[in-house]
Amino acid sequence: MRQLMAFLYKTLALLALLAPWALTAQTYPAFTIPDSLRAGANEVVREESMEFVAQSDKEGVITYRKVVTLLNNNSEADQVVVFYDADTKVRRLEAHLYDAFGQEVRKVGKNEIKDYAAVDGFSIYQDDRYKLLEVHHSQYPYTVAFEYEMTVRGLYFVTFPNWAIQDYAQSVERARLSITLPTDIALYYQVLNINLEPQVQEAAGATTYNWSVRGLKAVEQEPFSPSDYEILPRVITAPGRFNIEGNEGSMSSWQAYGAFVNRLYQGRDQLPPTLAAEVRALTADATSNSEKIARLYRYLQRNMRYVSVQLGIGGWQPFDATYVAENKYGDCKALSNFMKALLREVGITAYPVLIKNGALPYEVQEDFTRPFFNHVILCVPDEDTWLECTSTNLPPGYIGAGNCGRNVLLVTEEGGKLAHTPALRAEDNRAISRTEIKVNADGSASARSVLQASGAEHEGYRSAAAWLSREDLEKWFMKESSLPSLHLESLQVNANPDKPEATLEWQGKMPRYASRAGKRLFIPLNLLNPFEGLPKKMDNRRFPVVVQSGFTHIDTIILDLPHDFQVESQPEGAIELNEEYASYQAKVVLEPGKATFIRRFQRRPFRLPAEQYEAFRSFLAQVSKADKTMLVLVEKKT
Amino acid sequence: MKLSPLSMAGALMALLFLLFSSDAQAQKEPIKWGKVPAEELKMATYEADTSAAALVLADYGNIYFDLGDGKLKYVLEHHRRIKILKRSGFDYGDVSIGYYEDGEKITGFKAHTITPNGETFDLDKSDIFEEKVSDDWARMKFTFPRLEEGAVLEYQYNLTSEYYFSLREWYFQREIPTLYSELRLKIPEWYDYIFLNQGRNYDVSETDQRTESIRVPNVVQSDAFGNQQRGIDLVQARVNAYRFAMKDVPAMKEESYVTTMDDYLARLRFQLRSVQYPGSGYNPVLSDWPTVAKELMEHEHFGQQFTKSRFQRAVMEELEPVLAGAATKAEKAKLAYAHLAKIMEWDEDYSFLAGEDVDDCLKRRKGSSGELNLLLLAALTALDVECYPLLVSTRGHGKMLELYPILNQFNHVAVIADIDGQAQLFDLGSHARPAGIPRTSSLNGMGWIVNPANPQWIELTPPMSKSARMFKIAIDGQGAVHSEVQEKHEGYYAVSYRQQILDDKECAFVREDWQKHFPDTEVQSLSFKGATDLSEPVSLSFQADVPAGAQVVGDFIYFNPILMPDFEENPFKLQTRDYPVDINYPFDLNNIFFVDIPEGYAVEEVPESVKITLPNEGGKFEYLISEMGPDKLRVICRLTLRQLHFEPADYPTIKNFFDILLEKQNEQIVFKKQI
Repeated sequence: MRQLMAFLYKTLALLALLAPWALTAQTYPAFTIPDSLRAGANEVVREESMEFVAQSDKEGVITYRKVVTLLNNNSEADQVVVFYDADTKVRRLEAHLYDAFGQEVRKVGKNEIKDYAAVDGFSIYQDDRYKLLEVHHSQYPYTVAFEYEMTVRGLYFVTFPNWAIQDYAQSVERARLSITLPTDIALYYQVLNINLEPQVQEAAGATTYNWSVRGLKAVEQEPFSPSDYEILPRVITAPGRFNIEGNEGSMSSWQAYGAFVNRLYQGRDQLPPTLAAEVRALTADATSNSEKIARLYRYLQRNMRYVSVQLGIGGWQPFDATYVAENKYGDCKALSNFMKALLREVGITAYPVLIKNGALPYEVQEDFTRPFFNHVILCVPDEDTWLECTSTNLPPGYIGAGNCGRNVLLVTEEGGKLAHTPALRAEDNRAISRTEIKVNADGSASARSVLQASGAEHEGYRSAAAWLSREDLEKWFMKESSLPSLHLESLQVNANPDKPEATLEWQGKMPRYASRAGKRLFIPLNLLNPFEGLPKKMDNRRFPVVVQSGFTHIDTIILDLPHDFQVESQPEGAIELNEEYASYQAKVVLEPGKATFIRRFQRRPFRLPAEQYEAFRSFLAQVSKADKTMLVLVEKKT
Repeated sequence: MKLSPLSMAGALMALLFLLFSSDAQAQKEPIKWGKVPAEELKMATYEADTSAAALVLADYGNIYFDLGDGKLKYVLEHHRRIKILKRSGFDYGDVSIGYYEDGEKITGFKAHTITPNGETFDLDKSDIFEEKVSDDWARMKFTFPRLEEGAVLEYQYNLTSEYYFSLREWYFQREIPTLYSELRLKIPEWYDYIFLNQGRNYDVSETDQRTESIRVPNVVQSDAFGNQQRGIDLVQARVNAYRFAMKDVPAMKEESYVTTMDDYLARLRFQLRSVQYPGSGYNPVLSDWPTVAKELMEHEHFGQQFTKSRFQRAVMEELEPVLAGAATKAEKAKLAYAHLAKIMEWDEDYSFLAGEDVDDCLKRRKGSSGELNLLLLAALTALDVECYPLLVSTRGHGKMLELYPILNQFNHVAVIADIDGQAQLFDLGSHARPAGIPRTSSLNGMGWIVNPANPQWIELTPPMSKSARMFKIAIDGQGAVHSEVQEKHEGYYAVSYRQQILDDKECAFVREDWQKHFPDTEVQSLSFKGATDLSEPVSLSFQADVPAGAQVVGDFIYFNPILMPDFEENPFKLQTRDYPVDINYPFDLNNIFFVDIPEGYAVEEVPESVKITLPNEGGKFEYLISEMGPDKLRVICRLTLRQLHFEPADYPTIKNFFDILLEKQNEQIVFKKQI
């Protein structure tokens, strides 16, 4: 991890006099691939070259070429996808197909390019599109050479190359990234998971950076592994200066980048006078800032709707607060900005927060600035309160598991500041259930159950309660349930409006809960919440074992047993597994006519060395086994 | 006119309205822009369906024709009014209207939101977006401002279209309830349309004929430079006016195991049958099946693709090395199919026409469902095998209409060929599927053979797919289970196993499947047959060691012989059902277990043997357990399902059938230690 200024390399320019990459007249027969690059690979990148030339701080040209040999039908490298928007232009996109001997089979041209709107599924409109070129061939191995050129401006310019050198199950013969930019614009970069220094050369006022690699062996993707940003080689870059639609900015630091974003937000938080008055009235008798925040957040939730429109710089710049007030909708930026304006009206300072929502492949760090964000929330620093402004039903201050526990960028008047959102611990994400099941002699049963969930564990219930109709709620419950042929008699899902908590209550009949065989009755102890999803056995685990979230499940299942039966065999006694990363306790308590199964399963976020994978897996296997425990009853002899 | 009630099967009714009732067009328009009745503005829930998140208050369409500039066009005036009842209905505030960029345009667009207290907010024109979806298809998108619970949303536009061959279909039913939906049409008698109505009876159905003046272009004269002056003539013509309406249409609710919900939605489709202008001859647009077959055979993107020698040569060049050893036509046909199945990839698109010439597809090794099968037809034709295209509408595309030669009802073509006097079905598109096994999506009941001499509908009945598995099981005193397994898969099961083997030659999926049930299972001595020869069944043989396959508790061993159940859960979990269940293909899943009685133990108890059947030999499940000599038990667990279609009334039967199967799958054999 390093950040280097261009001038440091001026002295090294001589090194770059090495022969340029030979692109011409090269053929790629598959048999020249060494075995070491075939092992574990679905495809071999024979050559990849990405050249990015920034002519100014506004626009650049990307010239891309990739030659890849597909070894088998698990490879999906027979296609290239080029994203673009209204500010960018794809100039040339073509491919050549070669057989195993490197003989050209055909050229793949224009008429096979497909062009699609890159719709994210929740935007009403965005100008992103992509071109897809697929080259299929049936006889493996075969080789495809892709080439394209595109002119980039706007957001596609500013997001400088993020070069994933290698994919899983892919080996690389040689590959290079070259970035040329005016010498007075610095280039920042970060090299991940490989030892690599660029060659730097300067000519005619432009500086060129060249990274090249050779002979990377294929890497297998493993379950519970760290993200590919921690495993696979990659070069991430960012410009020292840029200009989008007349807005100048820099990625020299988070402070500078945040200052740029702040300018995009500036002057957009004016409320219409009537609304300003309404906001003041709404909070007039509130006794604390936290109460004001809660009231205004409720106001936002009641009145506004999430609608996403992303056009040009509109990808980074919000609609102004007046537009949101008039139309009663906005995207995450617009709604956060609007909420900020509401709070400002009552004297509370809040900052927009740039954040990566959802799975977190890369945690942004202080020493390298590049926007890896896809979402905006709001922070009230004085109250240490965070607000997810696109939600219509979360309690004030709860931002959801997808936003929790990560580095984010606060956009303040002084520029950007990194901060960390509150984490959800295993203790916060609880699901505690108590279920009474009356088992009848024929194996049928009736059950009533109450579940109390909190934190990440409650979010699904909250959404279901808010969005599903009665009928869909029942369908959803039945689909999620692991119980056999349940006849639902009642179902209640309630979310606590003020706390991240929800309850689920249901009652139902199960005609086939226990299985009857002759004079015996086999009763599963935990059909309600059995652990599933044991990862596969691995002989040579290579990477650490990583889990990013935690939970606590406590289930109490009380079985009322039929008369005239006695326990034939005592199920195995208590099991107790305690590891640093997880613990599991289960026991069966037998009383006359009654059996109680109590389990407590807690998993914390953790990272274990690769050697402990088998221990982790065996832990889960024991959990899985204990969850399958059966109670065997036999008819009492009369 | 009253239609007979529809059966729940959604049997499609195609009716030509020739009735002469009165006043179809004299009626006032059902809704006026911005004039929302107070009770609808105030409405907080919809009593007939309190779960409704939104409601179509009124949907009004008016279709008429326009010849003003010499090009025949039709205009659809569309006016829709939606009530938002709950927050979860806000999605209905996002609207997208699709149109062809070439030949269609949208004019007169307006939209506004009316809040429950009667305030109106217009949609700003700058908030309307045009999005190009594909080369010719685009859509207009917008979202309503100021949504709130109780708001009424209204929008209106005119669509002018040159695609008069089939008018825009009209949906009376949607995924939210509809209070009122009405479509009016005014069609000059010169145009004869077929009306295809399905799903529900009309509450209003009126037809009326009158004489009207129609503006038609006319070339009046040429000026000195030869330029033609266009003029307008008024022509008197009889015009048919129609009015169809439905009231209180319930929401359509999605269910699984149906062909497509479109088969059940209340909707009306149109198809131009003929054109006859005054004083000119009758121009059939839709003719009859034999003519359609003849035209298709001559069509550049259909018949020519396999009759032209250029295409036949291209495919034969590819096939020649493969066919070298074959003696008979039948053998050659099979080899040709097998080779094309191996090299050609399906691009996941359905079509019955070739968008690209088949020789280009062959070069690309890829094509749509139509391109692949037209390519195969070129090969079979070149081999002088009697073969025909078989047009199909896939399950997702909806039911077929035997009555009318409407081509856009189809979206796929398969191949039917005479192989040694037997009709054999071919359907390229998978590396794993043999001849005789069409893709499951094309199992939609029937298909139409494009044979100009004898065009005909045939029934498509998929063969029984079979899976037979035999387990020889030994259990030790610790509960470890050792099982020798032989499996044989035919039909669609063979296809699925073959595909898995093609993707994973080491067959790690076998071990992974077992480990899902028993975490520490080891699989050894695995071998398989039939992975490459498509016409063979796929056989697997291996040994599975399951450390805790049986539970040893005290003096007892409890053992469930169904180690690998065919069904993890009941596919029919819901208690009731509104639409029929449609299953793809019949199947027979036969599991036989030979269980050695553990040494030092005796059989204490075994599950009860059962045999249940569905009426009319629709299906059978048996679980039979018996002793085989002094130290062995045999368990047979077999499910056969022949009936593929179940009416909602029969739903409990099929649900219960699976309930019993799942129950038996869980039952235990009890062994007791001998002292």
